Amino acid sequence: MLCGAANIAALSKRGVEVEFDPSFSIDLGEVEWLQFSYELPGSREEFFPPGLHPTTPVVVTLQLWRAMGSQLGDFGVAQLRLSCRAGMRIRAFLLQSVIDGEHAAKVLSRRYAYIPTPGAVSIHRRSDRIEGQVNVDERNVLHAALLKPEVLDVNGLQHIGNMNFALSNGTPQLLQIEPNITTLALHRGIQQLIHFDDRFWGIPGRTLKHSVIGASADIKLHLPPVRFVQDPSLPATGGTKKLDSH
Amino acid sequence: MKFGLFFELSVPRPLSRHNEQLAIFNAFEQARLADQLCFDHLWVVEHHFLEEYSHSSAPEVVLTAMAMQTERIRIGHGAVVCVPGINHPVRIAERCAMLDILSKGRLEVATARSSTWTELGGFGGSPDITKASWDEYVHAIPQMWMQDSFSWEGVTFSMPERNVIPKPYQDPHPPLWVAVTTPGTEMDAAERGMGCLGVSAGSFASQEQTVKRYRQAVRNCRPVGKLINSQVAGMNFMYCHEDRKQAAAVGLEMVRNFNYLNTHQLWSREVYPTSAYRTLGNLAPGKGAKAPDDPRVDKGVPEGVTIGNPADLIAAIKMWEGTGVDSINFVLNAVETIRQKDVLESLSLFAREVMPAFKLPAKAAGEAA
Repeated sequence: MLCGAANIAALSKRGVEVEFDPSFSIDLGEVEWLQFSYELPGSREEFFPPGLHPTTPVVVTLQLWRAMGSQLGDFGVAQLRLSCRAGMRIRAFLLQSVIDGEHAAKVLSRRYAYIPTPGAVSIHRRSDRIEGQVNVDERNVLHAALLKPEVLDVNGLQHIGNMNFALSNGTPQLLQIEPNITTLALHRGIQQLIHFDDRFWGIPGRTLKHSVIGASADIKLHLPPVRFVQDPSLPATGGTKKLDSH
Repeated sequence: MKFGLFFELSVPRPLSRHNEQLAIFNAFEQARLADQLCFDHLWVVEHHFLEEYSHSSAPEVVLTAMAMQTERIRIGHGAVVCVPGINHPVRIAERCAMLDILSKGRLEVATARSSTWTELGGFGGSPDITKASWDEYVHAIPQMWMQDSFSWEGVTFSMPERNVIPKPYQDPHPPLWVAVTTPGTEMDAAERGMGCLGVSAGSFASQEQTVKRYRQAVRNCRPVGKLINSQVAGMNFMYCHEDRKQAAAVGLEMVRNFNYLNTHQLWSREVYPTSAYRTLGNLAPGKGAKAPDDPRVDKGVPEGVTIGNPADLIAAIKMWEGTGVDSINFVLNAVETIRQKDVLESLSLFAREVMPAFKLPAKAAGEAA
């Protein structure tokens, strides 16, 4: 089996310190969801901890959320994830994220190990396209567009849960994030990557040229408590621990 | 009850030319022995770019060579991918006809549409049109075999009048099958008068339902060719050893490795929103289905797996027989988990101790055929 080969000490340097609360969940309400996906060129093992298996090929998903009136207020999230497997489960490994909204950043990082890089995340619907932009320190790190979006049956979208790298009292962990998502509307279209800062997103030197497909959706998003954590140095079958849920 | 072998040609890491060649030549040795032991079928899959899981990207070449090294066993595409960019339908018809001639009428042709992004994306294929292209291919190919002048105007391919040659050895044409991975696909097979080639191991209950639905529907089929193939084949893993514990220790490791690799395919639906694929892959639900999100659960061993001593296998196959399947095709190894010597001994033991419970003696079977 192909396994990740990233150095866990190196991953830990940017690991988010989390506090587990088995009773904590959060309703994020209706969320605008926009995703661009490309195949990752070149080698792949170095991006994943040894406990995860990269897929062949690895697909990069750039996913943007904009939430209005949620329990966390108005906020946005942008994340870059890489397709992988934890044991036999389909997952995406979080490499970088930007959270637009101070309160949301605090909660999503502390409870779910999203990386709380502050920035501006926007989704703009135009007559012939849907554009997504992410700015960090007033510098654009992502600008992409979904062109001529066409309506698709809502059952056509498969949501894939994250594996987020975290530190719990200094100990490296992978959190299994299992959002409950209801898709209310779905569009799909040709994607155009106008600007992508490969270094910022954690894949320096990689040019995203082999397109998969772009999609946008209106979803209802609920983040339940984290139930499972995995030792990133071990396969999921032997390295996973269930968190108490009393 | 008929028995067959199902070859994925999986190769263990580290991927090397040596490991690749070893897996391929071991499969050939198994095929030759199976022919001598009076197994009925051997099937070779078609997959592309699926490292470790299947290095069987040129099944027509493998099948031709296996046909030349065997005498009586039927040889099958299990299954040929009916997607533009991967196979043009004329090339499928041409290759299959030639292989049918070279094997003196021993060819079976199963068809499929591919479900991984690894394969479809690699050839620039669109997941949205694979069902349509498969449907066109299975209607067109039998006509290519039977007509001296064939033309087609379709959605996924068109061509002017040509005589597609050679014509197959079997008259009117080889039996046609559909690779069935998910519930519902058996109806696609039944409606077209094509056999149902199970390529995932399911439960007895689900298999029984599949067979029932298929048998009802095939009665009213509109066959795509001139021949109705109403056979249902199941798939299973097989490791037979006199010592039940030894069989389980060796055989279940193979099942786990196969299932683990199977779930590592990059399914089209996972990365490409589409209504054309309703499920991700073809791994059957196993014991872990009650806790699908728990990564600690090993859901690798489906019920009814044919691993054990001869008595265990007879009991399991009787159960499968009860579901109404006509044949079972066995996966004998995965990523060379089992030593070749043990695979061959398992095959021989099966033929000696298990097969007689379901088949006529070899000579009589040959005469009956």
